[in-house]
Amino acid sequence: MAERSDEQLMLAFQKGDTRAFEMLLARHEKGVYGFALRMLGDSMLAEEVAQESFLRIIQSASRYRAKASFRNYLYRIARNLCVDLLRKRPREPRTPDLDAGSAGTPEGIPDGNPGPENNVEAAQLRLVIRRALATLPADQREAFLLKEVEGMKLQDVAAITGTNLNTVKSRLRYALMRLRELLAQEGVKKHGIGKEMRS
Amino acid sequence: MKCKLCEDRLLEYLYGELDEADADAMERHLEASEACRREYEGFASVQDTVSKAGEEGPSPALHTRIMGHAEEARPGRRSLWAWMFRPAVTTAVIGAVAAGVYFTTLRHKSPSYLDERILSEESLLGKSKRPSSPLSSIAKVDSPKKEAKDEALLTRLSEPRETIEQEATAPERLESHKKSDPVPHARPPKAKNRFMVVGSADEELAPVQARKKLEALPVEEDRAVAGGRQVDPPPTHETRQESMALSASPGRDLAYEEATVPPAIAQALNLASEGHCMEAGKIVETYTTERPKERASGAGWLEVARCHAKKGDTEAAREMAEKALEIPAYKSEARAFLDTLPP
Repeated sequence: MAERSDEQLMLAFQKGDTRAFEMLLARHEKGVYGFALRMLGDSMLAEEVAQESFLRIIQSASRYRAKASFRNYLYRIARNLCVDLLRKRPREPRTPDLDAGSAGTPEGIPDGNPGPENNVEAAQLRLVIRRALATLPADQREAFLLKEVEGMKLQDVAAITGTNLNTVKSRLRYALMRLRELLAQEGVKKHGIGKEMRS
Repeated sequence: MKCKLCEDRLLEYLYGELDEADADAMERHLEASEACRREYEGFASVQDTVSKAGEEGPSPALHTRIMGHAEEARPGRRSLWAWMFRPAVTTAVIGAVAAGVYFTTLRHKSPSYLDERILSEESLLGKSKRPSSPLSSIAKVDSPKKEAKDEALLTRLSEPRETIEQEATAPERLESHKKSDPVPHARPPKAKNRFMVVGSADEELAPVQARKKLEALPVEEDRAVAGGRQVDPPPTHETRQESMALSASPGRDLAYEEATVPPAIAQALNLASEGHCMEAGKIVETYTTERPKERASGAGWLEVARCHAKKGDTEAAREMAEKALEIPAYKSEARAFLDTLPP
């Protein structure tokens, strides 16, 4: 049997099927949490955003219509919550939460060799990336995260952030250029963290 | 970056969003242009680094917490509160309570002028007690003796009041009459007057919450009376004054202030709750034109937005909620509502 789409699961939940909602949650909770964590640099706040996003989905389930992508809908809620939190926060970029990784569960490393050394390297990389992301303006950061990390289409990023395609491309380009610079300064080479960084 | 092609298409190429023909053209361009190739490689290295870092997941407790909420608020399982606050049910409950209060208490406690007169005549004729309930009164009418007495009473009542008073000579009767009604000729305020301080002509337009508060007033008072004076005597002038004073106390005014909305907005809220979104929207618009940033306008817009959302008109709901967003006091509520709207 083919896997049900997000929209089908949401419609099933609308009829009272909580198993369907659990599947939706399993599909998206890590993504939403990861997005919020990189946007805010704080694991506690990220969990709050993820929880609140799903709560809003639950609350509005009775009014849900499967007209557009559920994923975009969910991320738009999470994005708005992050933007609200960032507005309330002081202007200076926040140093990423060093303990963020310990609260969560590190996901597998994509190169298929999850040895302890690679785990450490991935954790270091995450920290470096989060630090670099914290220096980006919020609009560039969200465009980068939605595209690069969540793998959304450029058009969807535009829909979620309420802008047009050209604005998204422009923000993304600036974010990539800035991150390339910052990662080079941090000693991150193309194939991982440089020796000076490890020591 | 000066290359127009790369400015337009490099990101789409990087993320694999170009169709085959455009992707081939871009590949050929990158082979030819060193600057563009370097730019592409720089972006690709960031992409590579980010994918190496992997993702962190939330704590398992998050999943449990969210599922707990989902179970609680399962759409198929309507909670008692949600059921109770459906407009039809709310209206029925309020109507039933109001009718109950009227038939069981108000008719005794705050009689009309004629009722009051009957009571005072009864006391003059030595009938100090009224039947304890309308039902017992009906039961007593069945007795032929009682029927005759009642007829006599009605005949007496058709005579002028002065005649009856002159005939009532027994001092103890007169004394008991004074106790029960120290200002016998003063016309008692109508039952509605009891609400005049807290309610108003706008009562008809007040929202359900305000109405509930108003309905609660006599209920509270009547409970106190029922507990202490089972005989249910006619309300004296003093007790009415106390009642009015209580209604006019600062605390009560405050409660009313909180529940009060301007009549126009109250009307809009009622219309919106009944599903007349367009009409409600027009009223709020007119009101907002005169008072652009007033709190009540935010409440109006938001209610109209909810009305549209209920009807499935997401676009209109969004438009109305965005108007509420402009009212500072309703900004966060409007934002939360917008988030719940389907895309």
